[in-house]
Amino acid sequence: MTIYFPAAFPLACALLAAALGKFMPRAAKFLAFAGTSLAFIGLITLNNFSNIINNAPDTAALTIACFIALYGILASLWAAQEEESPLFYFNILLSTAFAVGAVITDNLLAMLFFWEGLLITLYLFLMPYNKDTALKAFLINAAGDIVLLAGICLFYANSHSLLYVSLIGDNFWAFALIFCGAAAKAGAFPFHSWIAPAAKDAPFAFLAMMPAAFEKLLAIFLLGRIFIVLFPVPPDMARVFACIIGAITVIVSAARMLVFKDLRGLLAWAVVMQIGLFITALGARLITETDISYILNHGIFKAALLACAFFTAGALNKACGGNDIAALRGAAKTDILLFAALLICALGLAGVSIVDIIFIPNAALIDCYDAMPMLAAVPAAAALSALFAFGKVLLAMLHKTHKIARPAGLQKAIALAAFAPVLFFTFGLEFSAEHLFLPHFSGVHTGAVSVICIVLLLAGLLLAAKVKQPVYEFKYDTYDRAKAAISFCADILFMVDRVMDKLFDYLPSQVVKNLARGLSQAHRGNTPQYIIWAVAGIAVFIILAWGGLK
Amino acid sequence: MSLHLFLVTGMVICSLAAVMAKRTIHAAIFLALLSILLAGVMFAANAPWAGVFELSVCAGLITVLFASAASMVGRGESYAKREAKIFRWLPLALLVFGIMVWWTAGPIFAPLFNAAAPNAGAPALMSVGDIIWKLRMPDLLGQLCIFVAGVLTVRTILGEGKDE
Amino acid sequence: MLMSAAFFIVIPLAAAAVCAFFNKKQTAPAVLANIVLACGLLLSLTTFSDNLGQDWFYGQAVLSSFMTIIIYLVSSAVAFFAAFAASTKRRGSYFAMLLVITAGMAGVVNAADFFTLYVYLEVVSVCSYALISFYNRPRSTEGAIRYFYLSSIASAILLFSISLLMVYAGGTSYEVLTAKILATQGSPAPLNIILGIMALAFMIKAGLFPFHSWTPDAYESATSPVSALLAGIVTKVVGTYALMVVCMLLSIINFGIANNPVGRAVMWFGLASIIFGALNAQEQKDFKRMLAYSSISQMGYITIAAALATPLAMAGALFHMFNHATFKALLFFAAGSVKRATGSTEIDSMSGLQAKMPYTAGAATVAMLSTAGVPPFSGFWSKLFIIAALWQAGFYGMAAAALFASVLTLAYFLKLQRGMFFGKPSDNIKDVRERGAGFLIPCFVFAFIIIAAGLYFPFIYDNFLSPFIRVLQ
Repeated sequence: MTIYFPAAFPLACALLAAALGKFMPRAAKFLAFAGTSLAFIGLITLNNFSNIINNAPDTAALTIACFIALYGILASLWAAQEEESPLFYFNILLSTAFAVGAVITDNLLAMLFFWEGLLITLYLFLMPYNKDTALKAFLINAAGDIVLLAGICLFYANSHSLLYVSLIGDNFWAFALIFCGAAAKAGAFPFHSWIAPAAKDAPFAFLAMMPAAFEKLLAIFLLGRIFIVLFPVPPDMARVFACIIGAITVIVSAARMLVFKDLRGLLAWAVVMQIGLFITALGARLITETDISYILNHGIFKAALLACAFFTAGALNKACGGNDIAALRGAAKTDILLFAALLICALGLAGVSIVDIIFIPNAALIDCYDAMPMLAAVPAAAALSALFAFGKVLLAMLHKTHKIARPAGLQKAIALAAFAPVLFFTFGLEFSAEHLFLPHFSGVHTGAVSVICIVLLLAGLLLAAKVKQPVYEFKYDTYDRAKAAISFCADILFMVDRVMDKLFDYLPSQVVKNLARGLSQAHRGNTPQYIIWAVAGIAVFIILAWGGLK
Repeated sequence: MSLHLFLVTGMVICSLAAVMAKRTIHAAIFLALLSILLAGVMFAANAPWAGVFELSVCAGLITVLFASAASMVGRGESYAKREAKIFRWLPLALLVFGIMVWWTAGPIFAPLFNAAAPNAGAPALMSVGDIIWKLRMPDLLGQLCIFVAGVLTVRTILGEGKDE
Repeated sequence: MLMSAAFFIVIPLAAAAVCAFFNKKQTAPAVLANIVLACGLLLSLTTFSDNLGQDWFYGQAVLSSFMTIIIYLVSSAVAFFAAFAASTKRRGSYFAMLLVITAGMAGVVNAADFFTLYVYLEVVSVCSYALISFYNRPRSTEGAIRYFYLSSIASAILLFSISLLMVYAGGTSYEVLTAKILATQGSPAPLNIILGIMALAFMIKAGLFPFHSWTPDAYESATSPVSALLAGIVTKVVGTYALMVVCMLLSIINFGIANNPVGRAVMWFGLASIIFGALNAQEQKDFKRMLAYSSISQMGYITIAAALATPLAMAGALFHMFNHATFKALLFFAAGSVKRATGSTEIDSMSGLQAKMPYTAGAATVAMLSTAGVPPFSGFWSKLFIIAALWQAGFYGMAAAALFASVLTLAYFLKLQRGMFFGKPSDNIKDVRERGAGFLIPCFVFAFIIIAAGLYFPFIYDNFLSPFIRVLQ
C-alpha cells in the first residue's frame, strides 16, 4: 500500500479543496499547486527508496508518472490565472491522483480502478461548459473502458493472475481488447469523436492536461505494459491489428485537420493524429525490435508536444484575444518566443524535428516502410496534412500587423516551461529506462524526408505572401463529403426498401383483401345459395373420400 | 319388394306434397299419411312394435298436435309467394337426385349389404320391454328431454306474450 | 353410460320444468338456473378425477368428463350473463330452454351409443332453434330457419348412417362398432364409408366450410348470450366432439392414422374452414359477424387436429375446444356489453371504446390475443399442439397454412381493436359506460381462465390432457 502515497497527496488535497473551496477559493488554488507538487516530490522519493519498498514501480513507469505530475503542476498554475471555480481545482487534483495511481500500481485491477476514475473527472471538467459534450466524452470513454475491462477479464481467464505477469500465448482477443482500451483513452478511432467538441469549449488548462498529457501518457504506459510485460511474444495478428487501427486514426484525423483554421480545432485533431502515429509505429516496429526506451521516449515526446502546443495556443489566445487566423494575424512579430514554440511544436506534431534532423518521428517512417512499403503513406499523410494545416495559422501569424498584444503574463511563462521538454527531445536527448531522469543523447540519424520538409517550410515562410491566399482558400471537408455520400446511399436504400415494401407488404395484403371481398360477396344471405354450398360440399367430400377408398 | 317400392314411393310423394302444400293443415294431413305409410313399411319389415309406435305417436298424436298448433298460428293461408316459387323446382330436383342415387348407390352400398351382419345376439333374445328399459335407458331419458324441449319450443315460438 | 352422467341430464331437466312454470317471474328462474348450473360445474369438476380410472372405449371417459366440465362452465357463464342481459318478459321459458339445452349437451357427450347421441343431438338442435328465434324478430327467425334447413339435412344424413351402421355392425354403440372394426381389419371400406357419412353430418352441424352459411346469420341475429352459447359450446358438442369420436374410430381402422382417406378429406375441409374463416373475417363490418367467421376458422383448427387423430393432435383438439369455448364466449359477452351500451355492433360506427369501457375492452383484448395464438395465453399452447402434430405427421403444407391463418387471425382482430376499441373516443359514445358487474363478471372469469390456462399450462397438461393422451396410445 505504501507505493500509493504519491497519489495519496493529491487525493487528500482534492478532498480538502472540496471541503474548503466554497469558503476560500484561493485555498483551492493553493491546494492544487501543493497537491500536484507533493505528488511529484513523492514520486522522486519513491524512486529513491524503491529498493526497500515492495512492488515499487519500475523506472519507466516512474518517469511517466513524474511527467503526469509535472503537467498537473503546470495546469494548476495556469488555471490559477483563469479559473475561479473550486470544482476545477478539485478535478485537477483528482485527475492527477488517479493518473499517478494508475501508473504506479502493481496489479491490473487497481490500475483499472484508477483508470476508470478518470471518467468521472473528465465529466466533471466538461460539465460546466457543455453538458452534451461532457456526456459524450463520458460515454465514449466509458465504452473504451468497457473494452479494456473485457480484455482484462479475458487476460485473467488465460493467465489466472492480475499481477503483471507475462502471457506467452496467442490469445489474440485479450491483446486486441486491452490494446483498444488503451488506445481508446488516448483518442484512437473510433473513440475520438469527443475531443473536437470538447476542444471548442473547454479551457486550455484542461485541454493541455487531460487529452494532451494525461491520456497520452496513460495510453503509452499501458501500451508499453502490453508489449513489454503482458505479451512479450505478441499474437500473430497483433501487428496487423495495431497498424490498421493506427492507420485509420491517422487518415481520419489528417483529413479532418484540413478543415480547421483555428488552433483549438487543429490541435484537437492533432491529439488524435498523434496516438494514431504512435500505434502505427508500434505496430510496424514490432518486426524489428521493441524496447522500453523507445516506447517511453517516443510517447513522452508526443505528450510533451501536445501539452506545449496547447499551452502555447492558450498563451496566444490570451495575448491576441482569439486563436483563429483572424485573431492571430501578426502575432509572430509581437511575440516571437511563442511563435517559435508553436512552430517547433507544429513541426514535431507533423513528425519533423528541426535540430535533430531525423529523430524518432521519422524513424517511424522508416519503420513503417520496412514493415510494408504502403504503410509509409500513413506517417507521410500525417506529416503533409499537419504541415499544411498548421501552415495556414503560422503564415497568418507572420503577417504584418499593427495590433498590440496584451501581456500574457504567467501563461506565457508556463507555455515556455512546457516547451522545455520539447526542446529536450528535439535536441536528441532521451531518458533512460534504468535511472530516473537520466538523459543521454540518442544519436543522430539523417534522412531525406526531414530535409525536404524543412526546405519546403523555409520556402513557404519566405514566399508567405504568394502562397497565403490559395492556402487559406483550400478547404477540403471530408465530413461533408462523407455526409453527401451517405445520404446518396441512404436514398438508394430507401428506394430498395420501397420496392421490398410493395412486394412483401402491399401485394399480399391487397391479395388477401380482394380474396376476402370476393368471398364475402358470395354470401348474400340467399337461402338456396346456402343449400347449394352445402350440396356442393357434400359432393366434394364424397369425391375426396371416395377417391381414397378406391 | 314391390310392396316396399310402392310404400316408399308413396312416402316420397307424401313428403313432397307436405312441403309444397299451401295450407298448414294440408301439410299436417300429408304428414299423417306419410306416417301411416312408414308404419306399413315397418310392419312389412317384421317390426310390429315399431309399426305400432309409429302409428300411434306419429300418425295419431303428432297430427293432433300439428293441427292444434296450426290453429294457434292461424296463418295457414298466407304462405309467402316467394317461397312457393322456389318449391316448384323441388319435384324436379328430387327426381334428378333419385336417378343419381339409383345409379351410384348400388356399387357403394352393395358390399355393405352383402356383408351385413345378422342381428347381434343379445338384443334378439331380450323382450321389447327389457330392451327399452335396460338397454336403451339413456334413450328414454333423451325422449323425455325432447318432450320437454318440444313443449318449451312451441311455447316460445308460438305462445302468447311474445316480445317484439 | 356412466351412472353419474345421469345427474348431469336429469337435474337440469327437472330445474327446467320448474322454471317453465314461473314464466313471468324475473328473478326466480334466473337464480334457479344459475344455482343448478353452478352446482353442475362443481360436480363435474369433482367427478373428473373419479372418471379417470374408468377406461372404456379409448379414453371416452376422460373425454366425456372434460366435455361435461366445458359444457357446464360455458352454460353457467351464459346463465349468469343472461340474468343481466336478457331483456325478455318470458324469463322462465328462456332459462328453462337454457337448462334443457345444457341437459341435451351433457347427454351428447356422455352417450355411449350413436343412436343415443342422435337423440340428444336433436334435443340440442330443437332448443337452438328456439333460442335463436326467441325474440321473434324477423332477422332472428330467418337465421333460425337457415340453421334449421342445414341442420335437418345433417340430421337426416346422420340417421341414415346410423341405420347403415345398424345393418352392417348389428348395433350402434361404440363398443359394438369397435369390435366390428377390429373384426374386419381386412376389408375396412364399408365401415369407412359409413363413418365418412357420419363425419359429413357432424361437419355440417359444426358449421365448417362449406356448410357454414348459417353461422354468421345465426350468430348475428341471435342475442349475445345465445350466440355465446352457440358458438361457445353448442357447435362444439354437436359438431366437433362427435367428429372427434368418429375420428377416433377412423383411426383404428386398418388404413392407419392420417392415411385414412375419409380422415384426410375431413382434414382438407378443416383446412378450408381455417383459411376461409380467416379470410372472410377480414372484410366484416359487424363485430358479431366477424366473430362468427372467426369461429368457423377455429373450428377448422379443431377439425384438422381431430381428423389427424394422433394422440398429440387429439390432445390439441381437446384443449383448443376448451380454449375456443372460453375466448369465443368472452368475445360474445363483450359484444353483448357493447351492444347494450352503445346500441350497435358496427365496427365503423364507433371508436375509442377503450376509454369508456376499459374492463370490457381489456377482457376482449385478452380473448383476441388468445385466439390469435399469442403467448402466454392459452390459445398459444393449443395452436402449438395442433401445428406441431401436423408437422410431426408430415403435413408440412397444412401446418404452414394453419400458421399463416394465425397471422390472418391476428390481422383481423387487430383491425377490430383499432377500429372499435383504440383511438380517440368518437362523439356518439360520449355517454357510454360499463354496464355493470353482471356483464363484467363472466368476462373476467373467462379472462382469468385464459390467462391462467396459458401460464399454468403444465398443470392443465398433467391433470387433463396427459390422461387423455395416455389412454389413446
